[in-house]
Amino acid sequence: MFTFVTSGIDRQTPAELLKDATFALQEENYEDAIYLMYMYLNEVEETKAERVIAIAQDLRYRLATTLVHLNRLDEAIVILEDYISNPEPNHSLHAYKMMATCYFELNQYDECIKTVSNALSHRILSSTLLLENNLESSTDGGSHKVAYTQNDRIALNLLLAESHFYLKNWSESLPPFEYVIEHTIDDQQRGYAIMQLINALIETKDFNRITRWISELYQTDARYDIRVNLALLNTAAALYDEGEYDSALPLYRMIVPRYQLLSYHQDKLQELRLDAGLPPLSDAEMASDEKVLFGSERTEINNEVFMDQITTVVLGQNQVQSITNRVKINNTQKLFEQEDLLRALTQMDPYELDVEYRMADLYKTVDRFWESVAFFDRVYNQSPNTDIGARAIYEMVELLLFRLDRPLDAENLIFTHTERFSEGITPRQLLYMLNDYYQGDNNMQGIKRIEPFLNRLTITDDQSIMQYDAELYFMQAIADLVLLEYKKAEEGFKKVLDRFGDSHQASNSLYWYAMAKLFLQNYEEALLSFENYLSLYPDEVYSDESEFQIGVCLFGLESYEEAIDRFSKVINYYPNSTIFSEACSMRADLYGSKGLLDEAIEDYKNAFSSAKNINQASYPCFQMAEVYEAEERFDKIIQCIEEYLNIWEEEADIAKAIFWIGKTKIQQKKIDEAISAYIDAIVLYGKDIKQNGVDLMIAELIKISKVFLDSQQKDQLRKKILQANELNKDMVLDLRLRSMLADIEGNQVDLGLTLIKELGSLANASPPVLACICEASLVHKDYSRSEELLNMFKLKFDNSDYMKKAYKLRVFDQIENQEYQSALITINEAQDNYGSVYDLAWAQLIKSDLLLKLARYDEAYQANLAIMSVPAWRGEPVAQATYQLGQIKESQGDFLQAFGFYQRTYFQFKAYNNGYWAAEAYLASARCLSKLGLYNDERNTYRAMLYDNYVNKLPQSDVARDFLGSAEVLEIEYHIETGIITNISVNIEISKDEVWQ
Amino acid sequence: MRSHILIIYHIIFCFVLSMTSNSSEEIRAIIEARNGKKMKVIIEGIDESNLNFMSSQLDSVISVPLQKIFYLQFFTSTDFDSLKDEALIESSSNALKQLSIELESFIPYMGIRNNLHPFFFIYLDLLLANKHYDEVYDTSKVLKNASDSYLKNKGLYYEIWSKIGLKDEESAQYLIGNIDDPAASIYFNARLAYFSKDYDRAISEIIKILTDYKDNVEWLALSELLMVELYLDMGMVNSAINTARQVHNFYNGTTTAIAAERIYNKLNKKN
Repeated sequence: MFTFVTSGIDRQTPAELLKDATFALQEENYEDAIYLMYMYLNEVEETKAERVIAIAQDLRYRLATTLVHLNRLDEAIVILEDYISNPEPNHSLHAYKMMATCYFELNQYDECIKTVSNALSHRILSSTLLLENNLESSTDGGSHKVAYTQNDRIALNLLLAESHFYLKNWSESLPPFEYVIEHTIDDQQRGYAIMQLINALIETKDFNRITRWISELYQTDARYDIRVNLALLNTAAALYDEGEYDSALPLYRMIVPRYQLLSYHQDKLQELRLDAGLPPLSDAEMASDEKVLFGSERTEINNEVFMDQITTVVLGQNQVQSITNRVKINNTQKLFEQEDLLRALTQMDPYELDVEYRMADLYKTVDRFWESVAFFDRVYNQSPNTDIGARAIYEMVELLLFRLDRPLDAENLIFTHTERFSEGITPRQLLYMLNDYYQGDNNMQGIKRIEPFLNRLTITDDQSIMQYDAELYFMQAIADLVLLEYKKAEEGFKKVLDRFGDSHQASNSLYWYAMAKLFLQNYEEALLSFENYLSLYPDEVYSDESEFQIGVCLFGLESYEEAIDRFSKVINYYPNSTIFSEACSMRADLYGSKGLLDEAIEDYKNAFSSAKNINQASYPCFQMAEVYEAEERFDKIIQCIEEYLNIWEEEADIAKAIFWIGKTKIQQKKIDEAISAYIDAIVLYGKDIKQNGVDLMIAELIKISKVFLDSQQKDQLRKKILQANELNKDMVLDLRLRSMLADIEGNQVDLGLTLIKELGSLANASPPVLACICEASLVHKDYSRSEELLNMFKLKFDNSDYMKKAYKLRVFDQIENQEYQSALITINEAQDNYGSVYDLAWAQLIKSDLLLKLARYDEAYQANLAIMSVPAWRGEPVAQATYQLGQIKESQGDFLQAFGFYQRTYFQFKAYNNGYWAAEAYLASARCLSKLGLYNDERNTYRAMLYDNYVNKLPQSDVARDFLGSAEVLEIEYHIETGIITNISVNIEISKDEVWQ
Repeated sequence: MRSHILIIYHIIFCFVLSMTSNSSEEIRAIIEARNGKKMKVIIEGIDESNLNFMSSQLDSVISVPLQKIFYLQFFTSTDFDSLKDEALIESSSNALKQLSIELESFIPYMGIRNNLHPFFFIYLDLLLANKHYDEVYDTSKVLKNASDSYLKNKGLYYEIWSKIGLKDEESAQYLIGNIDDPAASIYFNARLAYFSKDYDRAISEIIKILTDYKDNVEWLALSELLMVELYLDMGMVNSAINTARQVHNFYNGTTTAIAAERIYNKLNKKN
């Protein structure tokens, strides 16, 4: 080690200083060397001797190099400037390069740019042969012209580009970056330059050029450079913010996942360690074979490599020689760098999820929804219970529902997530979204599928979460309401009121809670709830509706006057309300029922004129028509129907309007006009299966043909229908016209049979057609489609009169299968829909019969008695009911009363159903008399049966013949032939009151 | 000495002439053997196991086993690059016809790596685009017999494409089982699913490539192009347009990008 004696400095000559400085350098005693070199330069500053000047120049170069080595960059710059400005700077190219590097490291970018520019424009004549690899030289006029090597130029351009970049001279940074990209053979360096170029292009907003460079970048190994990856993240984000999605997406795709980077750099570190003669793994204890390979001591400190360094030595007067020394440098620097890199990488937060999330978002932005779902799915699956996972599943569900229309896939995701994570806001948000989707689709069944998962969520008092819960439970109850599950709806709304009484849905829940009660015909409680609503929320949205519904409740409670008062209140206080028109209609109905027809008409007119929608307009219009019809004011019917058509135009129920016009014409005896109007309207609107007015017209035409037309006119009508169908190609209309024709001709059953075979699907069948099929099925006891037919009606034509036939078919099907309870439910449903109309007597009769079968005698008895009290069911239904009453009593063992009902049947209702009930009643009477031991009366009953012309040719009479024997039968027949009138009677002591007990 | 020089000049002249001529009878090329040696030859023919040729120095025909040949550099006066450009821009039947004529004599040698392969593949792609599936099947057979695995795989891919085009799903499915590259296998499964209109499966297969094989640019590009077709078939036109635009931008300069551009322009016109 060189030891410098400071006390002797003053006495040292320049030659001694130079010698000591060189020795100090060799000994790596840099501080002393620098001091000595400064001293030397100071000593020879004024010299004119060429040799000394040359030595001083060489020393300046060495001093600068040493200062750079010690990171004393400011000082190095001063020395290098001296070196360049003095004569014979043999290493001027390197001096420039070194100086540029110093400026760059000191963030003096302007200076760096100047220096690099000077360096690149500088060509230096030198007699010195530099011992470097990759040297480019040329012979030009005998002098040796030295230029930068390719590597130098690349390094200088990189400095230049980076300096411009840091000074935000984006455009100026582009050419030097492009130079580097074009010329470097270092893939990492190329990738980095491309990356920086892309960043500069982002700043200049030259997005077209970016896309090209991205694909270039993809081909380089720089993808594995951490800096490049981080830069990619930033660049991609910047492009995304600029809306440059086509450029941002490939960048995100290029970002290498952290685990992949780690693996790549660990491999690289192992390579470096092996190159440095170290075992591949730094912390691992070496195995014995590894010790043989790498030695047992850690050798980082001793691990050195050598490089050539030029040194100028003074040989004598005016003699200077540059020699190359092997200088040792520590190559563990790369190793340490790599270790630092790995450490930083290990400590980095994982970014893969963010990248994949961003990609998903990008795909979504450009409508590539399936790809988006896939990436959101990846994010979610990797981290389902984190913030990013929650956002991912939310996005995914939103896409599946509202972009891809895949509710079942969304459902699956949501329900699985909700099962796994029952806490927090995310499952609520997901369920809410699904609810929203189904609500928009009016799919209440879908909403109900949410309920079990909603019930599983952990209850919380977090207000923001409770808001979701309130909404979701509220919608469950609404769905129940729409699905006609009024009881469940009532319970649901109550749950919202109990659990979320302070929520935003409390007032709405109370209103609909009351509505559910109203639908359940629990008028008293409904009324109280509406009153409650009005007292709690007098100014809320449903206050007018509540007043109106109170009127409806009062109507249901048969408090008609109070109901009128309440509707009047609505009419007076809420003239602009959406419910005003309906209040008018309701009051009009009440006035009408009281016979106050003028007042009713006035209210209907108000209802019509204030109608906010077609339903509010149609109802009073056609009700008015009914009133006018009763008053035979046909011109008024025409007037109100025409007004209706004028105001509501295409929204109007045109077919029904024409039905009324036709009906008026019939009343005015303008049968031909009515028929033409109907046929024209049927042809015009009959292709639309939803036009129920067409079916009303068909029914009216059938009625016309049966009541008003003679056979010739009927024939003409048939021809018109056939002609209309000849020109028609529409299936719906075809079926309608055929069913009408069949009804007119009495061929409904035949047509029904044909249609059963012909129609695979019932989609094009309107109510009359379906009724035709029901009729035929019933006659032929083919119940295979009974459920389908009834469902079809319920689904599409639940207000149709023709649905009664489907009910009948279904009931017979259920009886056939001995499903008596179900049959009773179906009957009740039919009766709820249609009440006691004449063609629903069968339902009540069957109901009685079923109750008898179920031994529910009292109910059966009452059911039969009910038939007697309905005026529309007089005639044959009463005959059957009377007979059935006998059956009930007979089943209960009360043969005397049973006999009374049977006898009444064959006395009073002989002719019904061609004597069927009378015949059955004779036999049943005889049976009861036998049970009572009144054998003579029994015999007389059989005799009376054979004398009775209504029954004695029916098959049942054979029973009587068998009982009486041939001789007696012949005698009776002889009497009948000869016109003898018998006085056979069976008098049993039984009063009328006893019979009807 | 002077006559010697003249002879040498004559030989050079003849050779240059011969190198630029492309008569159907004579195919001239440089053969590169697996040991690195090169030889200028006139190719006489090929059979299942040997390539037959004459060298410029020898009069007799030499037969060399195919596995010893690494590369063939054909000499041809045809401007294949222009033909390629025309084909890529127009995808026209004219380009197809021209390529068919110009490549005809070289097709038997396509089982050996050579400088005309890029054009040969474009020719096969054009046949596919024009739905000449039988021809694709017949023409690509030569690749199947190659000892080079790259060419062999290419042959397999074209065979699968032709089978799918010919609606022979069973054979296609069987052949897919022979693919080594998982990304390729997934892609063909996706295409087969698409062919059967099983869009859900097709999408899920493509997604696998997008997520797990995103570095496999060849199949990634084709998969994204297939996604364009899927979106179109599902009536998601905007999605199809955007995907087509991105495929064109991402894979600029490739046949896939050009196909995407064509769809993009067509859809944009409609909209």
